[in-house]
Amino acid sequence: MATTGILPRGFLFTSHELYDDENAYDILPALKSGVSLQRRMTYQRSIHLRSKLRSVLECCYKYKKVDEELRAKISPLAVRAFRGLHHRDYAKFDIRIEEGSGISYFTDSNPNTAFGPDMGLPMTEVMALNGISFQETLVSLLADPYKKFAGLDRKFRIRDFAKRWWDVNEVTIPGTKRKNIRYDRKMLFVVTPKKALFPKKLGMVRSL
Amino acid sequence: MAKLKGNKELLKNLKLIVVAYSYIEREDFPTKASYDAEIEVEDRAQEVVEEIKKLGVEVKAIPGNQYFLTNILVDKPDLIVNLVDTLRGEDMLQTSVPAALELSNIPYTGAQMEGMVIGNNRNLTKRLLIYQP
Repeated sequence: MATTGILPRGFLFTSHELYDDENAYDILPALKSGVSLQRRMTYQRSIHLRSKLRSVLECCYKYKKVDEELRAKISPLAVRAFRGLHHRDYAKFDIRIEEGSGISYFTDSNPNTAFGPDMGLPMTEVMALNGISFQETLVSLLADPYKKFAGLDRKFRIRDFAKRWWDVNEVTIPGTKRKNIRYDRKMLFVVTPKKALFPKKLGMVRSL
Repeated sequence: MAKLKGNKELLKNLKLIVVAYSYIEREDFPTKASYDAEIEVEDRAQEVVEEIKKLGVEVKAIPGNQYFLTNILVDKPDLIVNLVDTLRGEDMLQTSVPAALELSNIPYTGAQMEGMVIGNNRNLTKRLLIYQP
């Protein structure tokens, strides 16, 4: 069983394998037998089971990077699933790999997975495994509250524009490749037809 | 090694961040054990608050209960970190928080309503994954 998750801007933290231990808890047969965990959850309160699962994961499972070949195969699928399922910022996928054929099955997604600095949490632990600290995740999450835009031209709805006439961009200087923060206190507001975002007639060119 | 984008300079634009966390009450849970399992979200939210404080931004934790919308309208944060994953013990109701945040027009982290509905519905998830063009 492998789990993977991705963050915005196409970043992906790699998938990893979960290993079970000999002295496993009673939840492991559910995982092993291929019976959907969700289906099991209907028998018990899911929250109760979730905490149990967490303790199982803590005691019996270790996260480990998967090999490069598998990572290269799963990563684009995970990005595609993340976008297709309308997730944002972060999410956790449960993925099972069939032994032999190597086919990956995305069995579950959680766009609101446990988030915190505690190493017991799957996302935090996998991020750490990939050399990304929780602080770094936080900065990435908080620094651009309007999302999607670092270094890109932006589109605003008129009502958003009315509220927010300033803008902050992280701009890469072409010659030196150094990154620079640029405050645009006076933005130029151009109303264009829907299909012509950057009309050449007006001499507009995309910055990137 | 992959690195995340994000610049601490940009954080200076944020005056107040609110961390929204699940409001847990004993009466919403059938057993003491299930309640105990869920109450830990309060500690986890507090940990996130401490981590954000380290970044030098003012931060406040607000529970996702019936007073949530009123509270954020009073505090007017620049950004909300949405960690609410249950409402009255129900996972499906977590959508209420992004709904309230859309109403208040305050930016927030995490999935929007649509993503959360899909994420909570395994049937829908599988259909969408199959029918991706």
